Amino acid sequence: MTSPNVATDRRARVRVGGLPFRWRMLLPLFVALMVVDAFPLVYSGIASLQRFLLSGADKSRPFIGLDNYVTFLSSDAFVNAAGNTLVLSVSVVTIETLVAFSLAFLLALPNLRFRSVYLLILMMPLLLSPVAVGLLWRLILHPDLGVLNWVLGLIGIPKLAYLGDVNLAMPTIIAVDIWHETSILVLMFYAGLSALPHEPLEAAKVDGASGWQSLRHITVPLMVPIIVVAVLIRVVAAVKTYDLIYILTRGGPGTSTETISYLIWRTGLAGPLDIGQAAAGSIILLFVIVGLTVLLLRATDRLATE
Amino acid sequence: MNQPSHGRTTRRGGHRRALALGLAAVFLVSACSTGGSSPSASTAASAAASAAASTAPSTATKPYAGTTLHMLMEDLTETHYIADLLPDLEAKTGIKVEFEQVPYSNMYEKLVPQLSGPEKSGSYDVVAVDYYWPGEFARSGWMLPLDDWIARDKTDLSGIVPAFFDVNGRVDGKTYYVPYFPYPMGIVYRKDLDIQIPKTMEEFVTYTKSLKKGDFYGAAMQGAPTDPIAMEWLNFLFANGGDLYAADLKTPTVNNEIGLKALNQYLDMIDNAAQTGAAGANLDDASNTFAQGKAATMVTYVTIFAGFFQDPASSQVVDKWDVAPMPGTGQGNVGVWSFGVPKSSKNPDAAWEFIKWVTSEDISRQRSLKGGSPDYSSFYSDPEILAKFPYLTKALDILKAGKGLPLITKQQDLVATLGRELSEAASKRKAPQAALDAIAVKLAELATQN
Repeated sequence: MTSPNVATDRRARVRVGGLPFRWRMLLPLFVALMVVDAFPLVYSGIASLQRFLLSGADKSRPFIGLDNYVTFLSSDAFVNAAGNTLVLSVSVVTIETLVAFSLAFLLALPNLRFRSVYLLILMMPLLLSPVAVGLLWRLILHPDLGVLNWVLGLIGIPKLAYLGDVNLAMPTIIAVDIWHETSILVLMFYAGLSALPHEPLEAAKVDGASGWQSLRHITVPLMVPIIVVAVLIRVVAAVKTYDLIYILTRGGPGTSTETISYLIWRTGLAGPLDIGQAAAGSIILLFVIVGLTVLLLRATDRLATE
Repeated sequence: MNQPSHGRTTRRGGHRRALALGLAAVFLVSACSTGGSSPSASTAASAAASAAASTAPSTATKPYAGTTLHMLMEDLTETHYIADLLPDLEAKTGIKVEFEQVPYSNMYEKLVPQLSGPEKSGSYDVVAVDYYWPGEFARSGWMLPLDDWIARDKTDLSGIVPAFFDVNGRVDGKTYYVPYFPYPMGIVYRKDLDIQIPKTMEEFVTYTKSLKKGDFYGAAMQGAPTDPIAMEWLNFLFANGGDLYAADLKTPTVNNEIGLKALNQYLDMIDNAAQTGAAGANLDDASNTFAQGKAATMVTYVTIFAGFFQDPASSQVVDKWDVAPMPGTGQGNVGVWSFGVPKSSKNPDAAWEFIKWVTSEDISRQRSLKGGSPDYSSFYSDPEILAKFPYLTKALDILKAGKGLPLITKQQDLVATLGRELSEAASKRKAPQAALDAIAVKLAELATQN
């Protein structure tokens, strides 16, 4: 009987001075988000509707409706970049998820020795920035002077141009991305597996379930929310892949490894300096990522209801 | 087991969805902010800057004490030679200079956002301008004309090879840049292996293919997009007598039969004479291949390698190389780096003092004696310089014969297009004629944007 009154009193107290207390606490975050997120987003949105060329004598920025969107979406470069982005994203997310889950499952085995050593080694790529990873691999993969061709040469495998061959460049980027990004998924899955309740697994053991059955029917379903969040984070990052491409291939050979983010960058800052079209590309990419996010979350809900 | 968690999961679903949408927006900010970089609000301000300049007491002792100039420079030997000499500038004027040294491929994208910002808002006080940026930078209103400073100080620039000012100095009748570092392209070859550069391009291609044996290549090549392949292929085009445009600078000629012949020769060499992975190699990769003694020839910048190929720490070919002009017409691609003062410079007067100093005959000669690429005509017959770098006698002929890019406004876009389409052809994703036709379409479009 007394608690509602206490709550009412507290609410009355913190309301003094205009805004409710909780809103005042949120205000700094709100302002920061406005400056850091909302402003660039709105600015990009406006720029995407303008003929906005950074260089040239004509500095006017007339509104041209959706022309930038139409031009960007109908260009061969976009179709090519979208295809490359799809191949890259699907490949890296699928492979990384499978590899990371397997590794995390092994790491979480109860009787594993040297667990911290394995964890330390697995975490190392995570500590490197994508640019450092790109430079490192560019050296390793150098056709003539790189260590990979040298080692493979010792067992008679001929030299390959991993980044200079149109058939090898994309698989090479996928491989480097897997090397770099799997660790974060391992970490998330390992944390999830370590936090799973023991009771269902022990009950299954008592009931005579095999290891595979426990994994298939208990561990994986319990892990679904974590897997979805992890996949979501990786999908968003993979769709935006830019830095590895920039360092390793510059979109080449030709445009065979050009992703949408790279195309946006080169449209905006490396050639035509067409900020309007680059902004349109960025907004399109935003919608793609929001769409993917919604799809994945719906899928989670569906899985949870099954 | 799923039942109990159902309600919780779906209830949280809404929050999580909102959170995820927010996260997606946050992740996207980096991409969007690329499109949202600050608008170029700079308007004509050269008059004000020149007025300020005319009152500056440049003859006083160390009038710029305490001034630090910030500059973006390509990380290569010429920059290092200038850096070595900077104490002399400080002793004379009080100006300190800080170089931010980056690989070439990062320079344009770092410069443009700075240059397009408002007056005196930029991070760079002086800019080193490559030979396919001068038109775009000047015509966008990003650079200050230097003519008033030159007239005021009676600066004598007549010793610098006059043609350099046509490539990267004057735009629309005004002087915006002072050239300091020419880089004529021709052939670097192994003289110790008795390599004889043939007279025609056809013979050159056949010859380099015949030189490839196992791990030793007929040519070290740089076929990576976008600058490397574009710069390299232009030599093939010019040496065959071709060009990008007709004399009117409006009608593309790049896709005529000469252009196609030049591209087919280039592709033949990439496939059959060059090192493994040449289609993905940049200048560093190719010059490392040559420096390691693995290639007989290299179509490249003939005056910039004194510090690299002659350094025993980086090179197996010390004293084993020489330079030659391109076969055929003998015309190679000639680039020049110049210095200019951007409107966004915070210290335009000190910037001009730096340019005067670094391009003065005395400092230029000291740079050349260290191995730099000479900007003054007289250095190419200077006994002391020639004694150290005998290949410079040939380099002058290469310089005189060569040609630069057409001075259109969108030169960077031209090179980017060239590089991308040529790389499409080199990677067999496009037929040579189709790649050249795509370039021609873009060149016609760019010709209307002057």
